[in-house]
Amino acid sequence: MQANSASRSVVLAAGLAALAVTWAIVRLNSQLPLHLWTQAWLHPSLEDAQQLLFHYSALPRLVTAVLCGAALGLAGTIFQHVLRNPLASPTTLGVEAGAQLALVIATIWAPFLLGVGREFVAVAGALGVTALIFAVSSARGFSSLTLILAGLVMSLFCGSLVVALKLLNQEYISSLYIWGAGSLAQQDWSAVTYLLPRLLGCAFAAALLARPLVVLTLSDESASALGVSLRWLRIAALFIAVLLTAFVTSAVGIIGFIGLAAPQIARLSGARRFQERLVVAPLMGAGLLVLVDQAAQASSGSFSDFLPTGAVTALLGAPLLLWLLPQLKSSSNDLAPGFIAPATAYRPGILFPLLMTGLVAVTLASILLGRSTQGWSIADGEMLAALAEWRVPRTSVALLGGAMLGMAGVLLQRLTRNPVASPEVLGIGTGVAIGILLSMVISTAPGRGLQLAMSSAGAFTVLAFLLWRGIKSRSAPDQMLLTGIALSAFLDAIIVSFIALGDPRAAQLLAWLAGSTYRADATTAWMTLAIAAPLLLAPPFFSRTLDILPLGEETARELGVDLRLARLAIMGLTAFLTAASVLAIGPLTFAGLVGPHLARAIGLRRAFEQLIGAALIGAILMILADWLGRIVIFPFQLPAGLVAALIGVPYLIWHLTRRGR
Amino acid sequence: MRRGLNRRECLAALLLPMAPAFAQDAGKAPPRVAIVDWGLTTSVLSLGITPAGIAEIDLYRRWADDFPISPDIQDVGLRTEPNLEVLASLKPDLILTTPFSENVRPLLERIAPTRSYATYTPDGHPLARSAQVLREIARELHAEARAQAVIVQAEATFTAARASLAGRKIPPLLLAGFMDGRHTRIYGADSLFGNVLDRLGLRNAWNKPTNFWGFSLVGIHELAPYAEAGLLAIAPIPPEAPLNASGEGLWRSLSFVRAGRVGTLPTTWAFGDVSTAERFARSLTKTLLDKESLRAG
Repeated sequence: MQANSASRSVVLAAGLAALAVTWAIVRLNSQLPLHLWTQAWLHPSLEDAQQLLFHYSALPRLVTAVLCGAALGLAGTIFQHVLRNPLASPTTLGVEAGAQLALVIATIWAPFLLGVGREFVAVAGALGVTALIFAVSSARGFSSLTLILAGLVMSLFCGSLVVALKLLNQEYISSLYIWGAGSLAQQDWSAVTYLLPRLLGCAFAAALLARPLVVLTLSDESASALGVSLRWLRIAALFIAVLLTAFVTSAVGIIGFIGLAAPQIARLSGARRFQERLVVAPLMGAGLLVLVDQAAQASSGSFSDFLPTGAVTALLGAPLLLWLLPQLKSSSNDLAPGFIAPATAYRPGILFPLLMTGLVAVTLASILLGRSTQGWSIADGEMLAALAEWRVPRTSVALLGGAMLGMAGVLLQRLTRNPVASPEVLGIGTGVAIGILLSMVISTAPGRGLQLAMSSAGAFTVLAFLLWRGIKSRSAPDQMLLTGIALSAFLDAIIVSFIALGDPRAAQLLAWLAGSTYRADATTAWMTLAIAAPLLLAPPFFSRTLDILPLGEETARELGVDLRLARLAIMGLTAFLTAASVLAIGPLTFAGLVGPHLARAIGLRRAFEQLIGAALIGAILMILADWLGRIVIFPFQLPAGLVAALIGVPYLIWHLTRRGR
Repeated sequence: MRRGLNRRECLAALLLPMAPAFAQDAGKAPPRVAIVDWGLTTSVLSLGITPAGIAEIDLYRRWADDFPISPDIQDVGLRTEPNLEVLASLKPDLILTTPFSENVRPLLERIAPTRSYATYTPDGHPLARSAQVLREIARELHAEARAQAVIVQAEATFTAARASLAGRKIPPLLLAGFMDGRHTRIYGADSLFGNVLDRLGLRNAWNKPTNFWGFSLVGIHELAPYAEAGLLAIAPIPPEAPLNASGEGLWRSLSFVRAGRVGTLPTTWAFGDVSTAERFARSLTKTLLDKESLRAG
């Protein structure tokens, strides 16, 4: 049986590879007749453009696709095996995001480094971010949920930084957009000569470790009894996998999802043993990437700009991940207990006045204290009257948006019984963004009503999908996180395609995606208030249900709560809260993660208290973020959502490590 | 800045008897203007008017660099999201923007009357459009005579360049903005640069569809079919561009590279205006005349 299923997966992988190669040959043949191939390969005639293209572009591109696909498949297999997590991959662990951030930073501040070697910069970035993620999750014994969460938030963090830097340096970044979207286009053999020895070295090292690594499937005790130093074995294996990814990413950019999909397909098609997957998954990866790349090349003729291969893998990979999720056995909800326990507990009677004071203080600071062309100033009198016109709407919108996000976060965490749920992490913000994107496709000048309807629908769809998926898989938190990852990647791919199509609306979309309170004026502030007021008053009425929901379905039923109705009502409310806040302050919604957390951490444990506390903290965070965004790089400005992410992620990372000790 | 403009003014004065018009212009003080687009910034500077505020000054110097920026001019922040408090504190009489930032316009309108000008429209004639835009801006700023002079001078430059290039064997040209080692923008007939090629009687080699901004983003391999072309790379050129690479590769084997039909042009903003186009025409002509190898079509 074992042997049969293993050979079946080998046959499938070989079939896939054969199909890919056949297509490549057919396409190559249409460019250059078969009988000229040997000549073109060995001594291309300089007079024949087709032979030159064959020699310097088509052939190295094909080889690069094979190498990269195989390397990503291998890296994914190692990640998934060593971390005992079927969903670990270069994309989910943030390796690619780290490489991209390093490249953006180098492009802006140290361009000479790129002349020396783009690759070294990317490898350094990937290693740095991965090291950080491992350091965080080692505190929790590399638990799968912590790893994925740390990877996700690090990706979001690097992504936010990249967006911030792009906003401030738009002209530099066009090339990084290509790189971030993963282009396999070649004009010589340098990528092959760069990749081949490095990847072979890594593959050789992986082969050496293959036998010892098998013992990792045993429990830690029995493996230690065999005399293998597990710690070093793991670290060595992970290092190899990170290197493989970093080499690929540095050479061709971000090729998402191959590293996740190839090992998964290998596993699902019957390669159950690690050694089998070590062979089958790279074959799968190579076949998949060649197929996708051929498709991208074949279709790129119809675009004014080319279609980057990485964008296509993301477009195909995200739905694949969503489809794969229910077929995987989820890991346990290992994050929950440590996360929920509060550090210190103060009485709400003291906390609420404190938080209110804090809110008033930041609100006043945000309106009164600022920078002008003459330096720092505290506004008063006539100056205040002039500045209030700009600062009051921004501050009000930030306040309302942050409060709504705080409440939405509490609702989500209690609804999904998942302590790390938030609009950001679960991809609900992304759902809203896709909704807005659709409203832009439907209408050239979408009004606010249409935008609200479409964005609420987007939030609701994602949430319904999550819950349906969550109910089916018994509320596995890592699956919910991965849905968020898949959705974000999908949105990115759509945006990249939008840009590739040369659509002028793409710029508008990008500006909006950065998320900011910039466009707020008195009218929008009043409208946000009109929408937010009823939405903010509603959640406290669900306090009892929210107190009961985390106790589990059985208890809830015994206490007479109509689960379906309660879930539906809370889902709807969460969707509206998220949509309204995203419309107000953009799709970066970290206040929804930090607010509920901090509220719980300072001791607000009952649903009612946590709701109010999270709303207050969310509001404070967003006002602070808006204010910092205005003053830090004056006269330039950073979007508040972005600043909130830059504050929120370090908090979350710190929180993760602290709870582990 | 003064020097360039003086030369411009002298030339204009020589070219056309415009003295009465100038006098009339000088009578009215130009309004204080703030600008959130680089092409329009160049337009206003070409009129000899110092704006109160413009966007992203450091990057303008690096990427557009049509005119020097005086230190008195306030930076108003990002082009996409200019700092409203700073803009308001400048108390401008007029704000100039493009349809590109249409969603910011209601906010700008509250600071000062805001005019939006499009040089890039789907009709694909950015040069003609930018001349028209310059005239419209000049009307707002009471500098119509200067605008006329700038346009006339640009026309004169185009005509002179066309004449000096006429009869020389110049191959169809690829205008490239290299992005990295493997990709480049190629500016098509509907770009500002493409329009200039037309005016100079030169042929644009690129015949593939372009995007809204008049260029295509392509891999180096897409250049292989253009054996008879010459290529001009517009600065800034990234360090890893194939132009700077030494190794063997497709780039070195392309027939126009082997024949040496490759040149570079100074930094020019692809989304600029009439003055940008004129400067581009001059540097293009100089490069084509100086570089023997470029002409051996």
